[in-house]
Amino acid sequence: MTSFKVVPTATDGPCREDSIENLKIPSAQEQFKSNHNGDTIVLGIEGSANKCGVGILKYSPPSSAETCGTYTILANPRKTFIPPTGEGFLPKETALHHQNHIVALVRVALLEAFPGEDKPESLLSAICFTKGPGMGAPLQSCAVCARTLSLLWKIPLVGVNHCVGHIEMGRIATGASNPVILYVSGGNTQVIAYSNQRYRIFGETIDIAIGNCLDRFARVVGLSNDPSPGYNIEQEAKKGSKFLTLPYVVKGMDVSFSGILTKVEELAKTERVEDLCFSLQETLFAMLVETTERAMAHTGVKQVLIVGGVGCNKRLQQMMEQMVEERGGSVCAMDYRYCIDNGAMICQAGILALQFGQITKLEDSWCTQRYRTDQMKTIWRAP
Amino acid sequence: MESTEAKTESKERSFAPPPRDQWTLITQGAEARIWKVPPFDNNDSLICKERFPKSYRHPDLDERLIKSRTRSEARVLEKCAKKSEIRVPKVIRVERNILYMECLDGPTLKQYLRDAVISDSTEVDYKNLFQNLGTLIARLHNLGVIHGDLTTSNVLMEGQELILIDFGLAKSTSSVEEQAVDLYVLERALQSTHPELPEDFFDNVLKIYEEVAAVQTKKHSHSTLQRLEQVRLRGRKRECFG
Ligand SMILES: Nc1ncnc2c1ncn2[C@@H]1O[C@H](COP(=O)(O)OP(=O)(O)OP(=O)(O)O)[C@@H](O)[C@H]1O
Ligand SMILES: [Mg+2]
Repeated sequence: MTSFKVVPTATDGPCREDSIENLKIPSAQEQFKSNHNGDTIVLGIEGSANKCGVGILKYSPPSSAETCGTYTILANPRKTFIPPTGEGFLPKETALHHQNHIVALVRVALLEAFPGEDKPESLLSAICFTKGPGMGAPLQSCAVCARTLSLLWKIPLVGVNHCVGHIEMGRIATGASNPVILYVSGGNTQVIAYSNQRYRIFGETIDIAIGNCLDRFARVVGLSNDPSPGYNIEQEAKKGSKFLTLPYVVKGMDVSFSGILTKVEELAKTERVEDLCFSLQETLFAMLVETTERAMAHTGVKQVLIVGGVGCNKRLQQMMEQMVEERGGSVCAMDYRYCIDNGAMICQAGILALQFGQITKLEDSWCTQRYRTDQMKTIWRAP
Repeated sequence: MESTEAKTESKERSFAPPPRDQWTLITQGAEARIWKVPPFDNNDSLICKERFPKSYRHPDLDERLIKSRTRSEARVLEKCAKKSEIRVPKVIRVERNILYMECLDGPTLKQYLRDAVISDSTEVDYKNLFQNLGTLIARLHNLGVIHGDLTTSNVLMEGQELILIDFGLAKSTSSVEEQAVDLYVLERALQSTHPELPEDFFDNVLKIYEEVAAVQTKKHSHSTLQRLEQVRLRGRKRECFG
């Protein structure tokens, strides 16, 4: 085990649990055992798309001097599968990528979290894993690893909804107790708000996801997938100036992108790449900001949290900030802990479920490509 | 387009609302301010819906959206007003980003349902409600119009009568796909905003919708509902890619 070089992946300080206004953590914990000092530590595995990550997260109950417990990320290493230019990531190759890296990731995570510890696994209370949504084969690969560790170490499993993972990590990392959430990633485009123990989907794409739209466009114009197609589009867009007219399709709080993709592909024959990228971003993001604003107006919520990979885009953040500022609200700062897929966010949703007594039996530890955000009951939040 | 402008011109002289400081701001929605304009000349109180610029979006896009939505809202309202069976506010005057219209009383359907939940003394007549809602949407679709933003904030209740407002995303079309998406938007709005509604509420809306829409053509309303199935499925399938 010592042959692994540990590069620090957990650099953030503890987050206070009371900042996110969850219900008080129940004291009776029959489903799992905490450590003798009262800490609860879980390991989480994420691999629903092209990123494979393992996180380790610790909950420390309030000490006698404090009133509130904290959550701390102890390790959060990750590997990303990057397909060659012109190609998307396919389930089979992505699954192989995850299978190749998962064991090493678990080991470096344990090494980083518990340096010098002989039996680090003895400090863990549960294994959290992504149950869905995502690509079937990669999800399965990670779930197999989770089940194996659970059996080997005799600790319970906690299946997690990937989107809820983003949201819970976003809330704890920013201290935003009840934001409207814009979830924008390769496979998802949703506007979400909490009500009555569920994250309810107010608006979403009625055809392709935003990230999917950007990725496909990048392939058409030959932009690289390294580090990500969206990043490269963002860089090109900075050089663009001519605003090309593209379809703008908002229906209520739902959006549609397929018409834009068709149009922009057609324009790609004659227009400059930078102008295409610029116009594409301006149009797509305006639609997202508009629907987020509608959700804010509808729910009366003043805070916005952007999660998912596309949330890293600076222009999207800027537009969102302008909108929210005019409404007298605030946007939570972008943070890699909840924007880009990683293991710790699966830990965060998983540990909350665990602390409220929700574990996943082995026979229920299957994965599913379709798992809607509103299907996971958030028993840790007030009804 | 020309005819609309001509009409605006001819009304120019007679249209002199009281100064702005006498208006009351009723609400500020996502893209528009709704003002109540006090009575003047021969008009009762009016509603002024003013779309304001959005600094986050490209000025060309902003201009295009504000103009086209205001214009299409007016056009669709006028189209509905010609049919007496669809109750909408009467359009008084249209400017680039401003729509003056008849002021209606009554809470929004959202407010009405919320109040009913809180007060629990108000018995909501769900049967009457799904009948009216199903009928209204069917009539709208029969007229060749989709609303584009069917939520409970965009329906006013005058007694038991339902009045549709906010046609900014509306379109003149009889496309099966567009009608299905219109219904889908309503279904999702009901789910996310009114979990308290009876489970079969939307199914009942659809039943009435199909009956009433079928008066026009049975085949068409049937394919709209079939398409709705597909639209829903698309919603779920999309979750395939993480
Ligand atoms: N003609 C009217 N009479 C009375 N009240 C109205 C009228 N039009 C609008 N209102 C009130 O103003 C609110 C907002 O109006 P509307 O839905 O047209 O604007 P909006 O929601 O801001 O528009 P958008 O959804 O396009 O952003 C309505 O919910 C209703 O309470
Ligand atoms: Mg409205």
